[in-house]
Amino acid sequence: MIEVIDFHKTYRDLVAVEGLSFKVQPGEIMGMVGPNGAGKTTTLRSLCGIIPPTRGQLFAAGFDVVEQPVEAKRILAYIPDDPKLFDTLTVWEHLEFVAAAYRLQDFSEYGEALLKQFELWDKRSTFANELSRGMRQKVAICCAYLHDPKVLVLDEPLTGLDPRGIRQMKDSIIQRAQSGAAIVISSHLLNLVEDICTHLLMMNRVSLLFGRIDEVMEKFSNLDRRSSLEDIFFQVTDISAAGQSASSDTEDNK
Amino acid sequence: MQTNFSPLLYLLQLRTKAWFRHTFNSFFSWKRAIFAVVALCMITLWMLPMILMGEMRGLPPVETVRLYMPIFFVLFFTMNLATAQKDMALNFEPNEIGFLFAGPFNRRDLLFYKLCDFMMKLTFSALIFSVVAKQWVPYWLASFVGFFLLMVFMTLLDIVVVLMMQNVVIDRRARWTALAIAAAVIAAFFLFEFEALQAQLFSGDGGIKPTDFARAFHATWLGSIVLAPFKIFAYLITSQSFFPEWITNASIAFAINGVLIALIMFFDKNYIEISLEVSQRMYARRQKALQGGVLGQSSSTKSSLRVIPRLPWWGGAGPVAWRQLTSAYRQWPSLIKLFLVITIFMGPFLFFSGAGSGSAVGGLTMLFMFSFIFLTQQIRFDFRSDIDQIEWLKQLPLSPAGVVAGQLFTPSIFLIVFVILLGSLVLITGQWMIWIAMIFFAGPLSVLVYALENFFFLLFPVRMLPNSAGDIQFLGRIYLMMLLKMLVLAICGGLSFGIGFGAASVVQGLYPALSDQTFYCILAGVAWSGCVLWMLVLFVCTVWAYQRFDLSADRPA
Repeated sequence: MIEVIDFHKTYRDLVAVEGLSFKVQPGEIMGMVGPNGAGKTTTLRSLCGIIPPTRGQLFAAGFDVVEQPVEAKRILAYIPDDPKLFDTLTVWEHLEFVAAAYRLQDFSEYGEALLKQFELWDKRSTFANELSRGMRQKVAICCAYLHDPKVLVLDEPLTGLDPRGIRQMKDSIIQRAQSGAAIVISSHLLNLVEDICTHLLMMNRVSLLFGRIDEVMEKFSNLDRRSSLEDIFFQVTDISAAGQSASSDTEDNK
Repeated sequence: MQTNFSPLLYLLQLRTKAWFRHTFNSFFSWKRAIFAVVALCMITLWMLPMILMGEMRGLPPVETVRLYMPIFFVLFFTMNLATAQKDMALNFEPNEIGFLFAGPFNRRDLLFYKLCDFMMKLTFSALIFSVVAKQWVPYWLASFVGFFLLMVFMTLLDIVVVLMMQNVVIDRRARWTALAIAAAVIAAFFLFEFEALQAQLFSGDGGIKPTDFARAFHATWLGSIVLAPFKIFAYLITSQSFFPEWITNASIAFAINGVLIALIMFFDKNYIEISLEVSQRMYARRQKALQGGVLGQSSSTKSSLRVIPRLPWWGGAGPVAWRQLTSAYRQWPSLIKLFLVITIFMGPFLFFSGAGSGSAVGGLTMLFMFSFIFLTQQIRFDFRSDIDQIEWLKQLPLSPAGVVAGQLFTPSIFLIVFVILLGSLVLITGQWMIWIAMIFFAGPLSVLVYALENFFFLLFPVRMLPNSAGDIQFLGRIYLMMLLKMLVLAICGGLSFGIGFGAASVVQGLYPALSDQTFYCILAGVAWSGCVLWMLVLFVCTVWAYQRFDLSADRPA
């Protein structure tokens, strides 16, 4: 389970995230959407213990990522939007390294299966700097899946993937959720969120909307037609932008 | 061909403004402000005594300065050429390729844009060099102009050499011919000049002196050819009169640079195509260089799949150390190249400067110190090579102390091995006690300097690669780190040895019959413990810096 309570992150004068709270149960997939600079990546990084929160608590499978970072990270996997691999290691050595870091005793068989699933088996002896953008993304995915995480955090996971890779990725995310993982996906691809997510968090520094995706759709649908997630996104973010501009005008007038 | 240079000049203007704005704004962060203050203090500590000493002691004989200066310039140029990127003579950034190559500019516009860009950066470098050289030259302004023209010359020569190599590389036969000619020149030098060189070197009764070495090299035909253009700049920098000396040398210097620009235009027939073709490769190499230091620039991971066995867990340090060790192991040819470059170019210089103070041991001590100060800058299989991978490292279920220990392991091992190999040279002199001491202290001191490097890097991370000959930002940071390391080594080493000496003296006071051997053992033991303590302090500082490293705010662009 993932739980975020009153999360704040500020950089000097810049407030990146303010008072964000949400909960994702095992088996659920939460889609995190918002405009550029909304604080999505900051939230995900904090959730993975990569950057410390300014305030608030973040839990992964019951472990506080600030207080018990090693325990939390052991059951967590994070795939960044632009994974930076180790150029001097081969694809297989990336798995070896991850296996060593997570203290996995026998990973070879599963590692092989993962590489085959993501069509990287032929590239297992290739150095990371010789891989294409999509392949690098796939290596990061295989590394993330290797220790069978109970909490999966993905930042724009489909970037650079080919259609087959996108299909494999979507299937694997659903499969992981079905086997009991709690998953958070940040993406600008609203159809991805619509397709595979059970929950939706719309944010722009603060939480704008959070709930089950079908309930959200239901709530925003007109009498004559069902709203798409895109319609909802523009509706909610436009209101938020108008509100922010009004409040800044008030501040200026003061 | 119609030129369209004004938008490029405007771009240069905008970029310069942006640089000043960025530099100015960065002082509003407490971290940058501290960095600036520390840098200012260190630079003052370094430059002020030199300037004051220069003023007090007066100028050295101009002949002596003119003897060494050209040799130093040649060494500087060769080092620069040996460590620079060879793919492209004119180093265009990916953003420049993206915006300018597709823009309405011709080849000559872009060439002049790049040359102007270089010259602007070199003005600042020349300013710093001329201030440093104030202690040896009579007129600062003359030396400033001289240094500026020298920097321009070295940059242009660098471009010409690389362009010639690019043109030569295209034709395999021509490449072999060029290599054969170079080999023949070197062979002829040794065949005809070695005896003369040897005779001049050992003519005196006081052993080899740096002055003899410099004079002997000047006297050889190879030396006179290689040093000839550099002598012009040395004479310009040390000019003693405006007319005729300065005017004459400045005119020749301008003419030399003019010829080089003409050569660039001649050789550079299709650099846009070449640039486009290699930009991707160059960018990848640049990234690699940022990751592996000098080693990363020329190494090839394609050479073979060398695998080293997995290391034990070691509290989480094992996997991280294994990863860095594998990277380093795959770059062993570059490592050997680096050691060779140091041995050939820096070794004699350091040895002679140390040996001048007394014995060969003095020279070796200089080399020992040099390896701690300089090599740590170049061998960076640690956080400095993992700036883009810190996100990954941070998400691993490893304790910060484990990650830091793993990161410091590989470079420290390399440094220890190097020091032990270097130390073996001491055995030739029969000073085995010094050899044991070097080995004994190599461990804690290696970890200590690497911890300091990484601590500083995590607090003030920056991606640093030289852009041109004498890139002052790059050199400035290197100098600053060197000074800092020297200061920390002096404080930590001095205190540890001081306490060690005190402890040994106290024991000797209590037991007057204490043998010299036991005295030195106590001294070394206490000093070693002191060094280990300092090492642990810096290790803890590095762990703290790693913990507080914020990817969103601290990762440099």
